[in-house]
Amino acid sequence: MSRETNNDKEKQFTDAYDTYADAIFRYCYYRVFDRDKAKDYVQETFCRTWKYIIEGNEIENIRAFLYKTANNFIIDESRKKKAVSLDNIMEKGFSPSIDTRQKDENYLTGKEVILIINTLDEKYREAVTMRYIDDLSPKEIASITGDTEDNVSVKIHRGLQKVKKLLKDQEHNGVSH
Amino acid sequence: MNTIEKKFNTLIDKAKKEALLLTLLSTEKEEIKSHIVAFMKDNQMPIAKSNTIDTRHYLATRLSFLKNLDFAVGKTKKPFFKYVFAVSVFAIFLGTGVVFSAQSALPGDVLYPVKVGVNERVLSFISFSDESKAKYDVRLVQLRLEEIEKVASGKKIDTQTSTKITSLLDQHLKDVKAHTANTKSENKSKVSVEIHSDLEASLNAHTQILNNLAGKESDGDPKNIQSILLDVQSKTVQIGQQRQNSEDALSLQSVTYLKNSADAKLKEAERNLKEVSHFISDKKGKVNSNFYNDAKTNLTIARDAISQGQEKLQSGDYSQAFSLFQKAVRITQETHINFSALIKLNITLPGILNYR
Repeated sequence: MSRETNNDKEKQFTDAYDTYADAIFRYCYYRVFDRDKAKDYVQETFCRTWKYIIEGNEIENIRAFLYKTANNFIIDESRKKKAVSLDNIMEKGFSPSIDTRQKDENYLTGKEVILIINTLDEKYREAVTMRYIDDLSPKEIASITGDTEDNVSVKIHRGLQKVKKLLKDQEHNGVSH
Repeated sequence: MNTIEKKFNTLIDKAKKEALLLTLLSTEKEEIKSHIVAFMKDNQMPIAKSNTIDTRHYLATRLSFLKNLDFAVGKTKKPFFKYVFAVSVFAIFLGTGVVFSAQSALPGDVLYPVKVGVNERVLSFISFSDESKAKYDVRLVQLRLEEIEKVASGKKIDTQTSTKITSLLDQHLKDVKAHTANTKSENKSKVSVEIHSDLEASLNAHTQILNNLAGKESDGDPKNIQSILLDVQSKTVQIGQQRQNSEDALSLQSVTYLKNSADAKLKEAERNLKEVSHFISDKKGKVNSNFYNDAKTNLTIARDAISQGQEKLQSGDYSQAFSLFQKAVRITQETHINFSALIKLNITLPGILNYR
């Protein structure tokens, strides 16, 4: 390893932070719904990645690696603490603003949809969130979660079916004419 | 697509857009970054192996790919005689493990001739360009010096070993000269400066170590290590002169080329200084305080060379700037070699290093 390579790696790593910090923050936030915690998780993700690099390991796809590291860390942390419930989320200030007076295709806000997705079972929630909120491909999701691409596609499909049903129920319950 | 699907897709798009609004504030992003950068400083990447005493690992790494005979014999598409020869030699020896055992041999050991005459020659074939061959030859010089120090720190050196080492050093230096002269790269003069500077730093650092070991050798014939020491001292002076000649040749290059070279060399010098500073701070507890303070002084000299180089850079004297930055690289390199030797060989170096 030459001196120049060391310096290049440091530069590449800090560039990767500048590029992906927001995406990793979003990824963490939509799992814990706590801004401060999400920031800590971002820091931990990058520090763990740096440690991996200085141990002499090569990373082919830094973006996927960061997501995977964040995912593993979140799983570890979630095992220590109880799952985040919708009530917890609302207490922290991510209150959905369901307007029951309106009945048109735009009555649900983006936030509300995210909250609805968050009520899914973990396996579907993870797949749908990573696909539609984090904009990751099924292949990337598979490499992050350690699942097969086919299984990921099935989970996304089933998760979406459930979201559709929930949205339909929401729409139905929202009618108040 | 039906209405329900459209509605659904619209809602999902909304969710995505909403999600994207969530970002770190610029102050938050900078704060996290500062923590990460601090973590990176505390957890540095390993210092370049090419300038550490771990030359054996460098050579063993280059050797290891030939363990895979399928690669070497079946998949190579180059009907290149030297490769075929190299593979044939290894195919013969691999079964007995002689080649790999020889890698750790020292002067005076039974397998030392295998290491020098077979392994290293084969590895030389792997380097295709004259520049990489020259760099490889520099590693061999470093390896020879490390070997002799290891032997001398453990036992006396006999006349035969002393003569062999001197002869090998002569050969390696001749090879460095030949490969450097044949370098066809457009960066030839810069490559020549860097190779000779690298060599000069190693020779100078090892002169200090050998000087110390020569003073310690009590139950053997001191003439043997003394003769190696004198030989290495004279080679250091020669190589230093060749380095200066290369710097003179470099100064004839275009202004743009010199400026770019100086800028790159400045970064290298600063980086090396930082790495070696961390290294000696990290290992402070393993050496006596006098030696540690001397090492710190040397790094101060390196820092001064960088400052002087920066002044030259600003005044447009790029050739001088490059030379000063290269000097800083040399000083940090010598400090690192000596510090490492102190720890590995468990010797005491009386004062240290006089910089030119």
